[in-house]
Amino acid sequence: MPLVIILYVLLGTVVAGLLCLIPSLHIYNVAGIVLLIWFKVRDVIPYYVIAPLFMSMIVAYSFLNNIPMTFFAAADESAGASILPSVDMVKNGKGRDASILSGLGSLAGIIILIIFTPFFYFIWTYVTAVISPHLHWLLGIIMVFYIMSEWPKGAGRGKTPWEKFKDSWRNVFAGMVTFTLSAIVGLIVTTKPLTPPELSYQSIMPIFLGFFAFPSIIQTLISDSKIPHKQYKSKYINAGYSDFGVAALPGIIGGLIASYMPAVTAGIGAIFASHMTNHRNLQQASFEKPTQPGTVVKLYTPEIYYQQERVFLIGGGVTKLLYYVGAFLLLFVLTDLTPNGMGRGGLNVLLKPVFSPEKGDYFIMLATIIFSGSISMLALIWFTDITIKLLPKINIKKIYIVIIFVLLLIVYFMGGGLTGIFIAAVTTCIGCIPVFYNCRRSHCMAVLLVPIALNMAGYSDAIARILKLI
Amino acid sequence: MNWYISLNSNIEGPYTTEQIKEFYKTGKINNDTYVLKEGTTDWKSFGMTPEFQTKQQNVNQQKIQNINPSNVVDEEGLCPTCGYFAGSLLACPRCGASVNKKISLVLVKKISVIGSIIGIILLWYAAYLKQPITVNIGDIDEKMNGAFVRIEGKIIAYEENKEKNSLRMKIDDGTGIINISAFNKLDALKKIFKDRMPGIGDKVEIVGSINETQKFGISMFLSVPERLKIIEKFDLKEVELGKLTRKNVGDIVKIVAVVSSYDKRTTRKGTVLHSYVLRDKTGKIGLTLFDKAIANLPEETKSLFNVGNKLELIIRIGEYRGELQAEIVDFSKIVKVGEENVEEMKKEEGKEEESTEKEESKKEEPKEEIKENTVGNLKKSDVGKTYKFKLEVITLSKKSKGTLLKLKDENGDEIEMMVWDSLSNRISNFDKLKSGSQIEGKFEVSEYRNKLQLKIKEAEDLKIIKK
Amino acid sequence: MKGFTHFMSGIAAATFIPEVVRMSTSSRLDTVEGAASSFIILLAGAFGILPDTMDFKLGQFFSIAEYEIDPDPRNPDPQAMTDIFAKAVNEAGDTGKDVRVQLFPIQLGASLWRQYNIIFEPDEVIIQFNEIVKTSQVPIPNTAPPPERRVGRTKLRYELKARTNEICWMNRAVRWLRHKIKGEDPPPGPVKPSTLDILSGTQFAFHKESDGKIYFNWLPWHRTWSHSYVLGFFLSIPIYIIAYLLNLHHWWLYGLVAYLGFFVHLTEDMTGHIGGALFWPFHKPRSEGLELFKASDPRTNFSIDYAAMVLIIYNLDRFSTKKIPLLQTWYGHIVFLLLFLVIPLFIYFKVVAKIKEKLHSAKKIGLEEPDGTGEAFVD
Repeated sequence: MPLVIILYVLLGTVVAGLLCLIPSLHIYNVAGIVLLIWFKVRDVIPYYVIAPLFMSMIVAYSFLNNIPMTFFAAADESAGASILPSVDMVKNGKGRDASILSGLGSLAGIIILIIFTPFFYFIWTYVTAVISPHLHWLLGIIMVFYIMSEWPKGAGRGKTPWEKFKDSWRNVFAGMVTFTLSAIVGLIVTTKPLTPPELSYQSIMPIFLGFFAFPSIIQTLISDSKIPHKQYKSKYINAGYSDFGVAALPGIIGGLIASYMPAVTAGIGAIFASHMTNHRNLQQASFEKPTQPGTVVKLYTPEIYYQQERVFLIGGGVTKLLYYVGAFLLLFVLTDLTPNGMGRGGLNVLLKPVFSPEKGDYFIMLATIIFSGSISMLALIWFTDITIKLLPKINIKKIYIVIIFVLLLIVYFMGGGLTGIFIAAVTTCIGCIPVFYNCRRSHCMAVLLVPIALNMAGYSDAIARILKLI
Repeated sequence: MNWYISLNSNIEGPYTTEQIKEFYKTGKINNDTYVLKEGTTDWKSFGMTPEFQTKQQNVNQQKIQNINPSNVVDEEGLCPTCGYFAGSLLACPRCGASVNKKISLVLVKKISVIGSIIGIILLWYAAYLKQPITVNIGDIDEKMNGAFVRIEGKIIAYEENKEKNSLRMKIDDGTGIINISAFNKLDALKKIFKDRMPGIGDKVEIVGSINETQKFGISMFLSVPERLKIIEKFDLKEVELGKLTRKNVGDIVKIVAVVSSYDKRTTRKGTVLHSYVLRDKTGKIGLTLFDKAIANLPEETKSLFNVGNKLELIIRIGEYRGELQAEIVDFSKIVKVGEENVEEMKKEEGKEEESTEKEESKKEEPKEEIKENTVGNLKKSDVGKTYKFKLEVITLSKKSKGTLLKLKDENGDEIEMMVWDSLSNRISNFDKLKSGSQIEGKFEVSEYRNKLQLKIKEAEDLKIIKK
Repeated sequence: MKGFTHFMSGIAAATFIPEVVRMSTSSRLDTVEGAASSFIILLAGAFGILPDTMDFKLGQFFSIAEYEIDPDPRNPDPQAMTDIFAKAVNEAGDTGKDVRVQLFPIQLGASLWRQYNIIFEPDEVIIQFNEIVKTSQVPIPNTAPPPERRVGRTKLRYELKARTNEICWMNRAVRWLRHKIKGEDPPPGPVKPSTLDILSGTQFAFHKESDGKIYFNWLPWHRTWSHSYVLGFFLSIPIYIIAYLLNLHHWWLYGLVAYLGFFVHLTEDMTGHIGGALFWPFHKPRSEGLELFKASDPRTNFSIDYAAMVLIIYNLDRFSTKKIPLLQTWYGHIVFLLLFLVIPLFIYFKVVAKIKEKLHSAKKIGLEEPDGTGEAFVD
């Protein structure tokens, strides 16, 4: 039996690892396809490998997705909302470092999962038990803070208060519009889903491809920016233990929030973590240094910049691993308080009908994570080097055009035919608003946050009546 | 010339050039350490500073990670007039000059806003028009988790929880059973139904989303009370046990019977079962209760099942290994109406048994004339009628609770038939069926998702002619 | 305090009302009165950040400056900028009127900004341009302008000062309390430079005082009318009315919870360097704070956030879920609070702070902040 599990873990790692190299393809899409295959061959594949198989897939994704995220993201200033440090590093030829640092962060995330095992069992279960009847308003406070904390990006130029207000509020307004529209879509599709019943387990897929994948592709296609081909390959990755130390706290907080709260993504979790831990001021300590000859104030050290880059990437890696892998691992924390585990996230929803965990599975899962994670880390380094070599030969726009067709086929055949395409088209339009009007893209998550919170609080009937969708 | 060095976010210095070179030799600093020449403003890494470079370092310069200032600011996003960041804006926020944008960008911006508003309106309208599909409970599989469907069936269990303002029901549509939960919606339901609340035996339709877990099976949340409708109010009839036949399986009836015997046994798996026999003057029926099910009942309810008690109770008629079985629908509605001497009843047992057997043989219904038919001949108006068919199996596909047969008749017309596991277990050689096998039998024509289907009612109705 | 801290403390405060927690409990797992569970606690959070939201997202646009400085992104000229500053200060001195100067940021990319400092010496105003920074305010190496265009300085005809002489009764009360807690104020050191880089600009107001010196006030629109207990009360009135009209269970609690969030914000802010105009519109001037913590101090903020979270869980369990075995006995409460609140915070302050201090062992010079510097976008 252990040998069979190892084989399937390897299989999961390799399959997911390879597929995750395709930009814009999310692991939950891959998992959906794998699940469909599993339905067909369920007599061949033993039941006990389902969990390790899917776990290894999500582990591989957390690591290897760094490659497309780093190298194939649009670095277009003329249309972009913000530029991630990894993209910035690619511009400066440091893409390899960026990719590997994120991977190291995820590796640190695995260590954190191991260390946190007693915490999950003896403290987190109680926290879960205490707050589970309160999740609706906890999601509510996440939304309220999320909206209220988006600062105006405009500088407030203008002659009258109204002009200043308008200039300043552009992005905030765009954010609110995105949030509202996404929430309405969410309320409609949860009150009266349009997806055909036999494809319901994939009903969210066209929505998410529309909100996130297609707008990114459109952004890349209409931008003029090119991926800089020249990427350096340094012998050492310049990162110290202190970087991991600084990155750990926000990474853990963001990861725990994202892995525990339904519909809260790593991005939203990270926003909360940064508001809580905010190391910006520590870095500004350098403000109070002796002045440099020739200037009046402040002598900043360039290390701060590089440290921040590193901390951001490592912290991001930690959060990502806790969000994807941790959320699934929590499903296996079975205690008297949490007889059905504490699992969250897309994979948990996808697998719920075919699989339920048993006591003791947790440690098999942990072993799977360690095994798959180690392979994935090595694969990440290897594939990063291959990517760097291939970069000059790749025409990313052509690849993206192919990907659009692949994604459309997935939506058509697995997301409910023309209905799925229609839903994806609507959400693509909404998903383009934050991309082209400069606000946070995670506003689109309102599609899940709002209906889940209202449904948990017991307002589904009121919504159905208001929307006239009885 | 004096230098400053940056170590661990601290600035040290000034040092002389010689001192710095010494630091490099001793390893205090390395090629990546940042140094600053006094009087300048730009920090450079030690390896990149011309004053300290050796030939080898020059070669390596490319490899040293550093930022190329020309890469930092991307002219593409800037206002051509003043150089301020305009991003995707069409006019510079600082100087107001119009910023030339690609037509594609302008278009995408417009389409995204107009498209999302029109799209949402259309989406709402599509949802407004959408009529949920009716499914058989037995048909629900893992892929339908979250599916929005309509279910039509009989309420076979019903439990109100006034304290939690919730309602639980079990619905049986003949193909399977589903749990329905309405959390915190009891008040709202009572407002809608007033004194005509649904109850056991009522035929209802429910529209909702399926929730399926491997552990707890399928259930449905009734979150919108208006989505529950009563199709047919059930009229509870009192029946005599002797008149019950196979045809009554699934019916909910009221009986008055005496508990005539009790037997406790333990299955191989360790489950404790309590078996009772209920009798009235015309016949008897078995009743088996799981220890788990009665463990939580109040003592007075448990004592109702003492041998000799005459009870009035509502049962659902079930079937187990070919025998009719009583299933208690609602423990709270069992009423003790008297006590009877069981021994006396048992004495009469022999006679009774004989007489009922005779009766049964007499009663055997006159066989209806069932016509033969072909698939191609079937019309919508045939739904509900039973015909004889001779068919060939094209494919068999295993579903979670049954087998879906794709069949064709001699003319090649195709039709599907679902055989639930509960039935197929009793059909001899069913597991040997394969593509190309021939079957014949009496099947009812039914409609499922706008397509005609065949329905098999009894295991005996299907015969395999050629394996 | 930062927005998130205010937000969390508002919510934590609301959970101390047992009825609020009970109303918010989801019916799926617990009983509840009324039809559906309430989102009442959100009001505490939303009103907890409302004062700053009103300032930064609304109020600042109503403060229109007499002088605006919007530097050239391609070729910023620090000398020209200090000249305008000097003109404004001199004008305030000459006319006795309040003069405001608005500075704008220089955005160079989606997350790229040119950073500059404004330094007020008693007789001089200096502007220095620095590197390009990211939105995280971290400078990018090798992007500083050439030395000849880096610094501009202009002499002033009037003397500048960072602390005002003209104090009201409320300010006197605050100072009295502060002296009781912290002892006498230390002598003012040199003024810490203001930094301008990301997002919106900044504003200075120059006001001539009776001693003939010019008092400069940073962000004159901040923490004025918006930080008033009185305004908070008026803002909570619509909440009472809406809750009443919606026929909500315990409608009167809604306004109360909203006001609680607002109240906690203003009270927390009083511990910082600038207080607020607590009794606006009855008493308009903004008072000083108790100067117990720096509003942007990460350690204080993190501890309050953490404490708020522990207290929220503590209250939820006490008033609704009742799942923590420790909280079943009276001494268990003490053990719980010691174990999860006091000891972790003690460790955080004693151990983590020491490590951090070692890591960032900045040899700090006693720089004095102008009123409220460093609180711009973060408080």
